[in-house]
Amino acid sequence: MARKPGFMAAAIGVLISALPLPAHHAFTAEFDVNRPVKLRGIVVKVDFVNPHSWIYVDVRNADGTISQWMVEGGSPNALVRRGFTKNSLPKGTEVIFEGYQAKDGSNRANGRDVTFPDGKKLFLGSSGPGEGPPDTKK
Amino acid sequence: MHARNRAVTCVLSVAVFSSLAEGQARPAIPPSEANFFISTPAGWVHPKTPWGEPDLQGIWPLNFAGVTPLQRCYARQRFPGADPERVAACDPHKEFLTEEEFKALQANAAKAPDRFAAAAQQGEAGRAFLAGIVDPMTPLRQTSLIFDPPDGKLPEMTPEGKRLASLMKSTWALPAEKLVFDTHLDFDLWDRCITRGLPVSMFPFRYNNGVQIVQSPGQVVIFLEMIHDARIVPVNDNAPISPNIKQWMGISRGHWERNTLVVETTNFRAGSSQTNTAVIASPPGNRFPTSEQLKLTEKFTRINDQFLIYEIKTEDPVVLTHSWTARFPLKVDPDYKLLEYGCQEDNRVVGDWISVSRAERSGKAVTPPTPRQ
Amino acid sequence: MTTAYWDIEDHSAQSGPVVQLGAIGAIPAGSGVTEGGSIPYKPDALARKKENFANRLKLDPEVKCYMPGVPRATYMPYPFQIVQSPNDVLISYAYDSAARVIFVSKHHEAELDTWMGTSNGKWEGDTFVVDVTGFNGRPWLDRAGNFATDTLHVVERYSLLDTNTLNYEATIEDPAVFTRPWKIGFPLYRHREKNARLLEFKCVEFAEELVYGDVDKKPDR
Repeated sequence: MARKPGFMAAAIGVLISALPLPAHHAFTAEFDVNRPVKLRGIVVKVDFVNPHSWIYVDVRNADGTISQWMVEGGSPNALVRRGFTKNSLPKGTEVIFEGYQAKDGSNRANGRDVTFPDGKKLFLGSSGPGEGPPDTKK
Repeated sequence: MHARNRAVTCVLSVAVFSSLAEGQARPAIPPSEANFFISTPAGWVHPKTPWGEPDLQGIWPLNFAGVTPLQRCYARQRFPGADPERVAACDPHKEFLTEEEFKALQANAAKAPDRFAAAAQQGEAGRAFLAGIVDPMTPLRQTSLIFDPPDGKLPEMTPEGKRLASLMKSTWALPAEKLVFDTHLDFDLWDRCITRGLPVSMFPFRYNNGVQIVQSPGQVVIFLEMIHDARIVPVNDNAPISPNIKQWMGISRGHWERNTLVVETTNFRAGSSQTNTAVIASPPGNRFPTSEQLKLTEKFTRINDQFLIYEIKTEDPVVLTHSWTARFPLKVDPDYKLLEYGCQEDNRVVGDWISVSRAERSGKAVTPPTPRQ
Repeated sequence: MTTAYWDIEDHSAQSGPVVQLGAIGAIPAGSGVTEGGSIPYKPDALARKKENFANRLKLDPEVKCYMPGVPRATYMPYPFQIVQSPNDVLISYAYDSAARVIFVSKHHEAELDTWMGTSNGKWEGDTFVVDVTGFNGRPWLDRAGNFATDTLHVVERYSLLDTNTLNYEATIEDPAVFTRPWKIGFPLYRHREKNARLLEFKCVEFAEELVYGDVDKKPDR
């Protein structure tokens, strides 16, 4: 059977690009697609720990009470290697986070998106000596 | 005294001269399948440690091999866009891409979006936080990490291997498996932050792929970033090893075969998985058992200042019908920052997943477990 | 051999925190390794140390096999191995497979707050001096509740007393906890058993029944 040149590359290319390079776990095992959350609050702290980092956000509920949510991130090591530091998302920053709530109903969400209200921007900045713009390719 | 100094100087000069002469005499080794298309320059002399052993020191991150499939022509229905007909037409004995195919693959990879860089540039620190969790990876020219068996696939398990596999647990599901978690023993050793074990710890992961080789006279240490494991390899040490001491990472000893470091590891505790779904084209579920008869033989061969070829052969007569051997190049990266990977200190996986599993089964929300300090 | 892992200050023999262990779990007397005898705590920090002690089974990170930090790793009752290369020095601790790389030829700033800190080493004559910063404030200094915070700064000094004995000193500084820097010091003895090898003590597994006991489903009897 004649094979077109570039077949293997294409096949592997498809396999690689199509692969959703898995995060630590398939999120649907822990989080509920039927419980999407989109909440606005103030960052209380960012826990740069393994195996998952967490952003703790104080969210003001409609009745005026405050609920604290935890938004799951990845391993901080990879982040730090890209130039994200423990000061890149400071305490007191107002954020809007989107994700899916944990299936046990607790105030825990996987982080699908984290943005800033009113079109605000927050650049990573550099807090380490000689820290230039992150290297995009190795 | 003077005569002895002169003799010593003479010996040293001869040693340096013959080493240089050896280097100068040596022609370049051009790229080929044998060296993974990585050439050795003419006259290249293997760096040596001050005490005269081949110098392999440096940081050799495993993510260099991070997008190469473990198994060749591995068909998995779950891959969107993987056309079963085309996968079936894949040549199981084609070990390397052609030059054109490889260029196309590299071009494809170069086009892949870097979500972290884009977010950082746009002032979206929150999005960068979520996107920057994977170590960068480069495509290699080989079609799989496994070279033996010759079809690039893991060997079949023995009946006992299959029986042991059926008893294994993990947060990674088998196809159509409904996972249930009720005790910490429903999780695998990696979920529990105990170990990834071997051989898996020497294969790429999504992140924390740092591997640092440190040498001192009589010792080589392979320091792994993932759950901070320093594999200590005494070299040319033939002291007996008690068969009654078994460890998750086994007990290693090494020797030099010319410039190749050979590391043999035995004395394993049974139970870690031989494969991990983090490596593309691995079997699902992390249910590939290891027995106490596991034996690993690794070879590290440096072929120029930047690259070494790594080989790992896995034998386990209880579980495997045949050994399997993977081989891939690694590139030294002096700028890679190996960072601490504490795991159990902040591991919520066991508690959270049990809580979620019970909530699912009971149909109502369950009070989550007390947060650990 | 010191009993510093129980308590780095002078202490009398006393029963341990686990009654069922009887004499096995009891604490032998020990001259502390703290120069001057006592740790110069600020008053509120001393109160916190006492609270730590009173709740040590619950709060001591060693109980759960968390990483020991520096200097505690040096006087744990488990061996460690120093591997010295021209560019870096690696210390692998048997306890929890904790390990640290001490950067020598190229120093690094602490990028993340960690359990073992970030270590930069240099030679002063025949003494290896290691400067450790970037701690996360969570390790303890011993089983008696002595502690520090994330502003801890440790300077270690390793020198040979003879071929088989190291002299170890550490200067400990934390303005949030102590009124001034203070020192600990003691000898470290090389293991001279035939075929001595650093063996694995991945103790996370042994703490699981404790950590997950209240969450695990009990088997039906």
